Amino acid sequence: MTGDPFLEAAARLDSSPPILPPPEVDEVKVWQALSAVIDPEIGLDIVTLGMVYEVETIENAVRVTFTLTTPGCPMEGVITRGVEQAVASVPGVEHVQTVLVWDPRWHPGMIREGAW
Amino acid sequence: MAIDLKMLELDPRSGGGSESRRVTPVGSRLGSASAPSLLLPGEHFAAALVFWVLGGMGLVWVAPDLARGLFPLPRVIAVAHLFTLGWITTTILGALYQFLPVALRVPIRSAALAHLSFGAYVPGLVLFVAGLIGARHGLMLAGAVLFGSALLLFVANLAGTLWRCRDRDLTWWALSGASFFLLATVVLGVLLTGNLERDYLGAERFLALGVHIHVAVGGWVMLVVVGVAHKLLPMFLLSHGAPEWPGRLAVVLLSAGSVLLLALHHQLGPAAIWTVAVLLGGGLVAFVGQAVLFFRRRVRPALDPGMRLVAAALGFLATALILAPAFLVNGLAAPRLATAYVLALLLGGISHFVAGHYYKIVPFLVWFHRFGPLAGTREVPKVADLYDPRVANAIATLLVSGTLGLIVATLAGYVPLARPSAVVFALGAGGLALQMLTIVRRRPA
Repeated sequence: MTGDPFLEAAARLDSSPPILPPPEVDEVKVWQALSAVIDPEIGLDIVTLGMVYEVETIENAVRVTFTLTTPGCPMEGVITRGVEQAVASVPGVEHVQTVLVWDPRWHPGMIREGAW
Repeated sequence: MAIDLKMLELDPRSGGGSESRRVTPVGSRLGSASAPSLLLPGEHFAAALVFWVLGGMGLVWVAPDLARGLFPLPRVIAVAHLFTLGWITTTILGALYQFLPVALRVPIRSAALAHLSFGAYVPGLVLFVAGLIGARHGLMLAGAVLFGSALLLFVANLAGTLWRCRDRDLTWWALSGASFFLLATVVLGVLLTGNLERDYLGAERFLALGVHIHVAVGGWVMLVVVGVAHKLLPMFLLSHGAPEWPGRLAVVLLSAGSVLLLALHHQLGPAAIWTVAVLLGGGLVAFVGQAVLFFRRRVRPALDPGMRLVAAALGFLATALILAPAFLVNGLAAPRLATAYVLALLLGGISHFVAGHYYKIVPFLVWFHRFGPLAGTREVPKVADLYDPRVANAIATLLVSGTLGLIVATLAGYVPLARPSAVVFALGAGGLALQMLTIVRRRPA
């Protein structure tokens, strides 16, 4: 046991291929769920803000790599929890891993055009 | 189902990361996770708002004195301290308790000490102001010693917090300098209070009063403003990437000017006074320039009411800069000019800057504690949805027009304009306090 749902999922698949295909996580629905998480100060959702860098799915585990507008952003805890709660609500998702990164550094040019 | 095992090696701590990404482990987050409970900033903001409303009412009382340039009157000094210590400093203390753990990523050294400091500060200030109004020197001194001790505790707590911070950026240096100058301001203030009884400063008491005001404003308040604005303005305005050298220059100039003031104190000659003026004025210009850069580089198209008040504050600071040379040339020979200069600086510039940030900090705290836990589970309001922007804009209009009226009335010596202007300001001050109360009562449906 590594404690990492991704590694455990990979190990299970390598050692014993499942008889029945596991329920697939619809990545589109993950992105839709992430669109419900807002930066409440800016008033836009984190997808429109370009803060979600990557969504990876393996079996029923989802890893979301994201950033914040600035290191020390007071919304860090709230947005991280929001990502976890939003993705966990997607059908088929059993594990959510959030990875907060500062490289590449977020800048306002990452906001989707026409967002305002 | 094919698994791309490289995908599992993203975390650079495993040594297999293909990209140079710095990952913040979820379990070791600081920032908001280590911020104190709502009570600590909340009690400070509540007290500050009470002082703000009292200050507004006090302005109505002393407005004719202001228009006549009678700034040395004890009741005028009492009202001034309702703003400087009651509104500005109490807010700064509460805001720093919330801001430091987030911005510098270190928890407050001691929350218990912070509560203790608050418990001594508020009664001390009430005693001091009551002593000034009632001409009870003993009461004043007792109040000054009490709130002075509270500020000592605050500085010790702040120093302990800053000491543990590894990332010593502009904000760190600004706040370190500010804590030193806060101590100096308290010492100078206690000296002035004692002078009322024993008159050891003699004819130099007005110079000592000027040094006290300018160390308080330039060394304490402005350094905090520069340090906090360096983090908050780009975040609020989305103006990342703006040049930051004016902010660094502001810290250097404000610190140098305040040190020179302290070193020479009541022995300041004309050359030293002009040197200090150039240093402090240059620091103010550098800060206003930095703030203007942030505003001009912003991506957010519309300014919310809070940022409008901050923009108005910058305008008042620029007004104070324009009045400063005339004040320096005329000195106490033009008391109305001196009063108008201090009004533009303290009431117009710094008090509006603080008021603007209430529209950012209070709704954020309410959102963070009440709506934050619901993020990702249901639709939640934005921070700006917690108050009516039309009411906020009306309040801002009252505050700005009342202040402008007072400054004009004082400059012109036109007493009939002073009190109505002060009433307009007081209505704005009361409106702001009521709107904050409305925000605090917002809860999820």
